Amino acid sequence: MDELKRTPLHDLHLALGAKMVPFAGYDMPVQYKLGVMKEHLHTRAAAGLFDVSHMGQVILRGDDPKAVALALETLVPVSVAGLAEGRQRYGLFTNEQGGIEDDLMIANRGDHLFLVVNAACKEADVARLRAGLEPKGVLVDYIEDRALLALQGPGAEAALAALNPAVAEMRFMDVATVELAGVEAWVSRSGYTGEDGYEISVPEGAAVALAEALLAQDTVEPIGLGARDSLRLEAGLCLYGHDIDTTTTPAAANLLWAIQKVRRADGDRAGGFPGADIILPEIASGAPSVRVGLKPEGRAPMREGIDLYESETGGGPVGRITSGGFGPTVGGPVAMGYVPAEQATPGTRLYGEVRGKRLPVEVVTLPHVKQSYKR
Amino acid sequence: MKFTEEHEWLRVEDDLVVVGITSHAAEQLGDVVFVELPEAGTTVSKDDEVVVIESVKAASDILAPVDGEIAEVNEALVDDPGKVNEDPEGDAWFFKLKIEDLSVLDELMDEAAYKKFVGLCRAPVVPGDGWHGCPKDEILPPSRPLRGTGVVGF
Repeated sequence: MDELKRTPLHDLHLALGAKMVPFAGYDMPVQYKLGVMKEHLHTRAAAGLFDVSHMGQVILRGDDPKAVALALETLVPVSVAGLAEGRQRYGLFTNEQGGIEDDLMIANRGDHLFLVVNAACKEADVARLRAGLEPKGVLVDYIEDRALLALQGPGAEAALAALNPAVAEMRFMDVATVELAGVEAWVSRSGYTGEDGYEISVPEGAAVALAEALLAQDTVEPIGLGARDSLRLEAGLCLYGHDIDTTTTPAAANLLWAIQKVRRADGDRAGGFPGADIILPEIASGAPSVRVGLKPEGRAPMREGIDLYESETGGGPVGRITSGGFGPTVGGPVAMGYVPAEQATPGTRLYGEVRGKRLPVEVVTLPHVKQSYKR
Repeated sequence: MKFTEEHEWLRVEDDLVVVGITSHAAEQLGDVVFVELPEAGTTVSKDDEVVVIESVKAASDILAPVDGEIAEVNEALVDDPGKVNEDPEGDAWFFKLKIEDLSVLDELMDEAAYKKFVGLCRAPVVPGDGWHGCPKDEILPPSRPLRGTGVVGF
């Protein structure tokens, strides 16, 4: 096995007492001294600092920014050309079968687009971008010398504004270049916890100074991947490779909000992305199986891979849990998964088979915990 | 107190064997959020899965350390699973076993042997974390992991 890669904050994680685990080829902190539960609750109550430097950062540029945006639209069912300067939106790389190759963030930073993609997919994504966009004259710059930090929670604004008050003016999904800890930081007001907060790209050499400046504040604690997972699960956000993958379509994944009208049938720039002939008709017809929120009625967590049944006895599985565990803010088990469209109405009762016993689970509206973005 | 390779502790109280998990195991598991106990009166054989314990990170089983009959279970853990992290080797016992012959416990590890088994004498990961007072010639490879079925995804 190849040696695990390290982020610029690796030594800081060790010094902070992190428990390290391999994740997407990196040696990453799964938790610090507080532990997953307290880290989760702290993020919802104050502010949590996450190292997400393992994620991929890519810049797309060309002579004409509009042409770059239109070129990217050939790979994603998203309105990139309609994305205003200084704004960011969620996107999906789709495949010819209508499935999802990765999910990503796309930011319009004026003379270039800035993308953040998943760690496990980043090499494939860069190859996909190069193959699809370089022939169109787009320069694909894979940024490997910048760290990425996320600061999340109701205390995030005050904590980051202490370093530069300008960030307080940003609203959800705004992007800006601001000076933080003496360097140029690319900041977006976004995250993966359902909380208000920021994602901050800085040159790798400045990452430790920025992290330390944030951690020096009473409200900020370092948060590991364990709490990142429970936070995003409560917020109803998909984890690529689990809740969405190459076989799930946007309609099935309940992600049609990410496909703007202009890219849908009858839109001015309808289709033109991989799998459009499958994805667009499904917006009208609906997918046979869809992603829903699931709330186990008892106390036993229902984890990824648990089969779902229509009744307490007999019959084959009709669905499956794709993410599940204990939600510290909910104070009980939470999950999401795929169920047949006719059983996707909130309030529907299904049964998850846990250790050979079928236990009741209710279909619920996502998110499990209300998102508190600063719109 | 006696210890098993499955990270359980056993102590004898009023001729019953009280069983719980070690502090080391509780720390490895992380915050415990769910405990499922057997019914009192159940006859169990060594290595039967008798308790299900789930933390924020994973699901694990607790095995019957010896043959016997479940005499009593700690219902308080069902309502407050967090006790397992707060006081794993005290109040957070899981069940009491009635066994025929207490001498079977003699074969289990004592505290020193258990410490050695879990490799508490391994080199510190965090500088300054110390050697836990273990002699350096007792440095061992990492301990056997807890029996777990769940894995955290991110």
